Amino acid sequence: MKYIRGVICWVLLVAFVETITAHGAFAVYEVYVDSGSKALAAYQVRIWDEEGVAKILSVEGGEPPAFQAPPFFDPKAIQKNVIKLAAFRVDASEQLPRGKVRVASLHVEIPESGARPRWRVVIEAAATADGRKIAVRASVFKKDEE
Amino acid sequence: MCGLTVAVILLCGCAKAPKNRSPIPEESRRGYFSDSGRPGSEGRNLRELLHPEVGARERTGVSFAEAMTDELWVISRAGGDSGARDDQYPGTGAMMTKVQNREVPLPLAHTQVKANVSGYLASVDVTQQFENPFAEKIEAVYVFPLPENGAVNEFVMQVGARRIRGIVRERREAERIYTDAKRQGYTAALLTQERPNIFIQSVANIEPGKRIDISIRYYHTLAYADGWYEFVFPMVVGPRFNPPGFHGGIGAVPASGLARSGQPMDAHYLAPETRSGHDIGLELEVNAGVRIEDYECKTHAVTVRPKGAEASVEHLEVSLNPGDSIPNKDFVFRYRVAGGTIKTGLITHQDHRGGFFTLMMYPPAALETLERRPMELVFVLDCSGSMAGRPLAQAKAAVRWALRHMDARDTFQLINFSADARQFGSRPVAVTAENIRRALRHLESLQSEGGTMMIEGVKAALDFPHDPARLRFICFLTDGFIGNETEILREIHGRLGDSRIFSFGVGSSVNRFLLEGMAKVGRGAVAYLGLNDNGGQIMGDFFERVSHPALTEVEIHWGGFKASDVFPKRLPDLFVGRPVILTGRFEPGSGGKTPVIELSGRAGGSRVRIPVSVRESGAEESSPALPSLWARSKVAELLEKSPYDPSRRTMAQARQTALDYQILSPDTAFLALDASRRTVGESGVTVPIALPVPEGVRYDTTVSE
Repeated sequence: MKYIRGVICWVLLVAFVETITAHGAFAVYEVYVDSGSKALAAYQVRIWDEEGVAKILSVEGGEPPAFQAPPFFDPKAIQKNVIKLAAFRVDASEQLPRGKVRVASLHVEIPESGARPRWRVVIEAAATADGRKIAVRASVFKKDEE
Repeated sequence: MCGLTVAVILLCGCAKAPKNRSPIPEESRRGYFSDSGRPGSEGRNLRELLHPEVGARERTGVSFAEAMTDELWVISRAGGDSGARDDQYPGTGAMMTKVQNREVPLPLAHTQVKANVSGYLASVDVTQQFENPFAEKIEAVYVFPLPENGAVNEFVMQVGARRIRGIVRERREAERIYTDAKRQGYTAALLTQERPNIFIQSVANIEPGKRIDISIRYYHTLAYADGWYEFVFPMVVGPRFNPPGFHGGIGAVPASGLARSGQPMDAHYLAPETRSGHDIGLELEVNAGVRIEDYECKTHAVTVRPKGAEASVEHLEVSLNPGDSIPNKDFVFRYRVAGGTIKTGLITHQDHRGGFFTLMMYPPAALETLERRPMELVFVLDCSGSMAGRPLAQAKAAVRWALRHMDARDTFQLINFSADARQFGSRPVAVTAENIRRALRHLESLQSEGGTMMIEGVKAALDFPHDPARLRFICFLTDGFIGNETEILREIHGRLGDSRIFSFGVGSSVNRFLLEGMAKVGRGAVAYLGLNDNGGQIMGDFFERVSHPALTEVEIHWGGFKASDVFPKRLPDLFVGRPVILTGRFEPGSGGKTPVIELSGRAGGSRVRIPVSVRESGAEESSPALPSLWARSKVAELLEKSPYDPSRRTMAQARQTALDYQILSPDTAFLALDASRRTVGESGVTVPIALPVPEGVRYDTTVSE
């Protein structure tokens, strides 16, 4: 009996320690825009996790020099955990990226252990340097931790 | 577990340290552990120590339907952030300081400030360069000031070449996430607001030899008085006095040793004759929009490059001289624009949220022709320890001038306070030659000593029997180095009656939040008396101001201009030479380009109605800063009301406004996180950034040993 009580106490203690040290996982999701052969000067995308498990914490700039500055986002939408990212450049066409490029990264928290976000991306606008609308594709991929 | 690991790191740290790096100084270790004085709390995050109420909040999920209801967002800004410098600044490579004759490295190397003034709006970019000179991972914690009316709305953390934009969240949630990220080894930065003019920057998991830059952008309106615009960049938080029994302030403790003040947060000060390797660079561009007649900077050595022909300079480039880069006093740059060109100026901005405006409203010139009534002048001198030396000498010089220039119809009183309050006369004293001689002798006898029981000074000044035949003006001369600002403002609010308060900030780095607040609640005005200013001249400006009646019971009639949500809600009295800045929303298209606005109020005993000449608002005067400034004003107004709102609804409204406009507030915080990699090991040791005491302030009378 004494032994069982000891085991129960140990289990409760472990559970307690687990509870007080429980924490969310952090991850990075990269946002890509593919403008094909056209030079990308501006984009606006709306991204959210359909599973509702990821909390967006920070936004990092992209890979091409034109989009290295972290993009701005809509403050109202972010409160609903939806991020509307936007950036535009006035550089000459040859300095703008073409094809599939990483335009931003989202640093997120996934509080629930084992949960996986399912990202939905909607392109709201994309344009070339002379202001012409272009069709682009956008996608989000998980980045492996370094 | 976490705490145990940190303890082990600390025990082993020196042995593991590479020879070319410094071990964590004992002062910093002890400073971190000193909350309990024993290595049992070491694993706790500093923020947990400061705010034990921090707890996890439930995450709110978002549904697709909710997401789809968002309004269309229009891009309103473009352009990249200014890149941080990669090179080391001269003299900062070592980042060393001497503490008790030993050199101690500091993790804050440099602060770079780039400010742009357009009209009376300032946009300021501040980059803090944190570097870890130690052999172990650290968390840097820096207590620093910003202008009390600043709207902080951008926060970018730079790790190597990567720039990560922070997002404003509810403060408790941001603190919880920061703590989690720190514990797991991620690099993260958290910015919180402790007072409207005091902030804490925490940067977790800075690896040995690594540098992390934090860039902040804020907007604010410039002060204008007596023909001069004034740009101020505060550089250091002065040591605050917290009265016995008060536990909501900011303590002042030595950078070395075990001392803790018992307050939720401490600022750590360097001992005399020591200085931090942290230095500051500052560049300021002024686009006045009208001709600049004169300019001055009495606080720092600067280089000024006027642009354009001498007779029509509207544009100045100002830079701080490298030899004057110790961040131990406020930077104050003033410029005077051509007198005839000053008009009430309206600046507007429109975006998908609607219209925003700011209006700098100048008092009607007609006031200058009216005679004033006899006055009852009450001078209240702060004689506490922090005023020792030059600040008290400056305050005395100002009061001496006033005593010699009063009108024979006036009465006066002298009150001094430190641990308690004392007064010169038992009732208002008549202005006679003999009384003035006695008062001057009394003034010279005052010495600085003890704590800052300002509440006693407030009570003594406001409870003093009032002479109804005279207007009572109470002049507080103080550095404002106290932690219980809210208590003081509440006392003034409750006891003001018909009195008016004019606050004079005396010193090199005064508490502008308190001084502005006293003047606002006291329906007066504020003035600043620096250590290099002429006290008589500053007091003379005040006399000039009150030598004409103020426009009281002020109301604005907006005409066709559909203004709403205008702050401040209660308009202050308008004094000659002191404009008032209003911010509000408006319906785009209403009022036309030159709205006709009328001002009404009581002046010299009669009701007057005066049309206000509003300068045309051109496209160049549209400013994207306005939504943030408007939100900042709204938050300030709500927080002023919150102590009287038991439902706490105003607090919730203030928090929501801050979230909606992504600005910092007491209940919101900026969080930036780099989730791309974990640093090795668990969270590092917390190193508070040691601060110099402000120039002219004595360490021995202000910092608790």
